Amino acid sequence: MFKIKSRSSGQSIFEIVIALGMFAMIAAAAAVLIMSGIELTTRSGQLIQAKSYLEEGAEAIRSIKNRAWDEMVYDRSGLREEADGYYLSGEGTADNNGLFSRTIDFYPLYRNDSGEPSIEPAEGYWLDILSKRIVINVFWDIGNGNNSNIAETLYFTDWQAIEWEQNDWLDGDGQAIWSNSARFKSSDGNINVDISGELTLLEIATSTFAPSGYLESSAFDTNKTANFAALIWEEEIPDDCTDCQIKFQIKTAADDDGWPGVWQDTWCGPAGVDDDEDDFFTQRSGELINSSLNGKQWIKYKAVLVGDGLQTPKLKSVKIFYQ
Amino acid sequence: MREIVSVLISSGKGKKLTGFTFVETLIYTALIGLVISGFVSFSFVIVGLKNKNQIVREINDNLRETQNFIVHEIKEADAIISPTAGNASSSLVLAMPGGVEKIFLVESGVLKVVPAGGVEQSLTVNEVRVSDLNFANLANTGAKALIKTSLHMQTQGSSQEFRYVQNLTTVVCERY
Repeated sequence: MFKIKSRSSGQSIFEIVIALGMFAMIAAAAAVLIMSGIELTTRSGQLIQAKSYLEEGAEAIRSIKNRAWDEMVYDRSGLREEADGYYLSGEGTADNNGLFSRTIDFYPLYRNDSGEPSIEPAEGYWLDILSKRIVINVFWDIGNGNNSNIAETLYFTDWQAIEWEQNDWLDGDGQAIWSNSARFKSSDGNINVDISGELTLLEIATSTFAPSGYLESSAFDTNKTANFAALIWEEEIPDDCTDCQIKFQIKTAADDDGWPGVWQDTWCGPAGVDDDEDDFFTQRSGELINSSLNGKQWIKYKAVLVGDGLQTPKLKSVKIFYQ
Repeated sequence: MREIVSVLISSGKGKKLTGFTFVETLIYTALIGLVISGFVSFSFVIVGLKNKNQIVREINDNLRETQNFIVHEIKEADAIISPTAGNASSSLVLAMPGGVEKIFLVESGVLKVVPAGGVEQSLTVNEVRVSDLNFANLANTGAKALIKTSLHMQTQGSSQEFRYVQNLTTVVCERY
């Protein structure tokens, strides 16, 4: 009645091994799924940290832009935190924070006469010295030699910059402090103000002009401790006058009870306060004013016109931006 | 019953063995024990990992929501009342549009926002503990505020699988 055949009495070792193998495979698959879930969650946490690091960079750059546009002179720079805010660390530097590293790259931005921006210098587009394209990247190691990264591109324009413009010099020299917008302080006698109030070299004989000349402006009061952003001008250069050129230097001074305090000893170009007068602003579309001239209330410029003796450049207007 | 016993104890010559030997029984028992203990251990590991995953997600969710909310409110604020320029504080007081003040602070490990004269709102859940909340205003006097927020977030559990710690640092520049 209870005859038992050995073939069906139980499982062989082989069957048990197969069963265990299948169980192990299923268990391994489940473990992989769970581990993947863990890894995803961990990466999600890393992503939150990375975004936070990215945003820190973006907001720090915004604060630098708000403080002093002319501090953004680098192609790539990291950030340095001080008690009074963030500063750029210097050319070629980057940031590291544990697992994460961050780079901040600065690119020029170009505009056409309609104000449309371009990231490339195309025909009809000029360099907008008061705008920049900034790309922030955050990288981190996700294991097995692989990196992950997130990036953000920002377009900043120094909208809050205030401009001091002079486009008329007709009322002549003798004005040390700016009040009449058509006057200036002095010149070397080789500068002529034409009928439209624009500056040219003095015609010393028929069709012969002084080889060069300069004009010093009145001192302009920004009415605050200012950071100076850029200097831009409009000019007319005869096409066939390769020697013709207009260039600028500036000086700044602190306020001394409503009057300019002590000016720098030397006129400064883009290199800033460097104890020499060798460098000039020469890019009419604009150059950044060195941050060593920041933190002052008064500013004045020196315009230098250079010709070839037969023709003259013409200065139509000059603008200095500050914030 | 008699037949069963007969089968179990039978070992006569010329007859096939129809039951388990003692050694076989031991082997099978050991194998079954191994499988069961493996399964139980695996189940515990799976449950542990699932719990850990849940905890990490909980912290991440709270961090993300907290960060987004604080950043949004600072950007919307008309002014930063406290901390003032160059100072740091464990609470942040914002002047919001419409003259409403909002205070961010930690009470009993929970990050809260308290509108002046309004009902407080918890930004983090009770299962998550927030500590070392610090708001530093990095701006110079007269400049737009630059608020650096840092906090420490961890779960309340004591066992390893329920323990997870994450720090958050974010910076927001005042917009108005």
